[in-house]
Amino acid sequence: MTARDMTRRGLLRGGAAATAGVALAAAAPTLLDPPDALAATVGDEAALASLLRVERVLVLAYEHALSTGLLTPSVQQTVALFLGHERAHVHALSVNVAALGATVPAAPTGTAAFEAELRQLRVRRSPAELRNERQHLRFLIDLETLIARHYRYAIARLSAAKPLSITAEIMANEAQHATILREVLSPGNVKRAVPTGFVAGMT
Amino acid sequence: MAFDELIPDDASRRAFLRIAGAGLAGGSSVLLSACGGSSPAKNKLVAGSDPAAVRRTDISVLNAVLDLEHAAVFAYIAGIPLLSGHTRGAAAQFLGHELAHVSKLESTIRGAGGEPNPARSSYPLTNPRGAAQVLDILSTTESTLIDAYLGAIPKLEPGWLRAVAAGILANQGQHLSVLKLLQGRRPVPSAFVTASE
Repeated sequence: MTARDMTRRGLLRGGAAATAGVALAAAAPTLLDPPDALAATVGDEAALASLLRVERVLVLAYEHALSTGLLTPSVQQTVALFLGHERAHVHALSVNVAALGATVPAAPTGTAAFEAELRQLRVRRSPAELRNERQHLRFLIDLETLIARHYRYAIARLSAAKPLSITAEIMANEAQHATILREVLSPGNVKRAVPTGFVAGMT
Repeated sequence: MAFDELIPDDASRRAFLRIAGAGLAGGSSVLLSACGGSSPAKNKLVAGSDPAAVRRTDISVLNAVLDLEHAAVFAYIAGIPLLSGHTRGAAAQFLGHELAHVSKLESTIRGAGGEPNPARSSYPLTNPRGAAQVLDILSTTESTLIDAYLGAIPKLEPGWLRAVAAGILANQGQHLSVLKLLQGRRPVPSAFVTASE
């Protein structure tokens, strides 16, 4: 069964599975209020570099989830697909940062650097604490939500048309990721998958 | 269930009633229930939003996307009766979102001293013969909206206005993903959301 089959079947199933999702929705969020990491940035290159930093954290989170062996094959397929997207975002942002004449910041490597970046983003939960697939999915959803907020703030501050276009395309893609991950977590519960008409980056 | 409970937000309720008054809805329980998914409570502006900073050109850009949002509302209202089960519930949820977008755009335009474009009494739609064709139409509608918002965002001047538009754009992307799932298509085919998805 492919990830697509699984999620589609879930969407069509609804009902009892959705009820299970409601119980999950009551779980405490793993993130504090997202920081405004962009508040101190000045200029398009700084805003894009800040987004690049958060995107790299997301790449590490997806890589970590895949490395644990806790994911079922269909979820693994979805997570691998989204990891590819995050890497594409990193590449696009790096190209745009370089095009503006700024230095592309080095990527964090290793568990310690990953954990440090998460702390910088005020993410309370450590990936090492995640014990099962559902916890990993919830963690990824929270990170996707966090990054959507960063993009929204960046779009309010960017000035050049090209960075604005690329960041808008990526923000919408992150929102799609969150939707599909929520669908995997709570199959058939569209109110969970797309809870509001405005993506603000808040859980 | 009371109408107020179905459409909890005043602005969305006004938008629905106005559209219903234009002859699109007919007041059936199906269409009323279609609005139950609206959740506009989280529609918050970026801090520092100032209606006075909105230019005339911004109002024109917003009215252009508002025209398409009106058309999307029409498409959902027309299509929902042909859907059933969970697909119908998803479309109803998304209709609520589109109504919230209409309300947000209208209030933003008014707040900036502009006049929002009204909904037309009808929109050209192919005549769908079943759920599959309705989903095709709704997917195309969402893609058109995505294209419009992607074009609008770099043209808008106040940053808070771009943030509002980006929040709606991302929601349209979510709608498109779910509609694709329901169609048996790949829900997130690309790392970048574009109209060509």
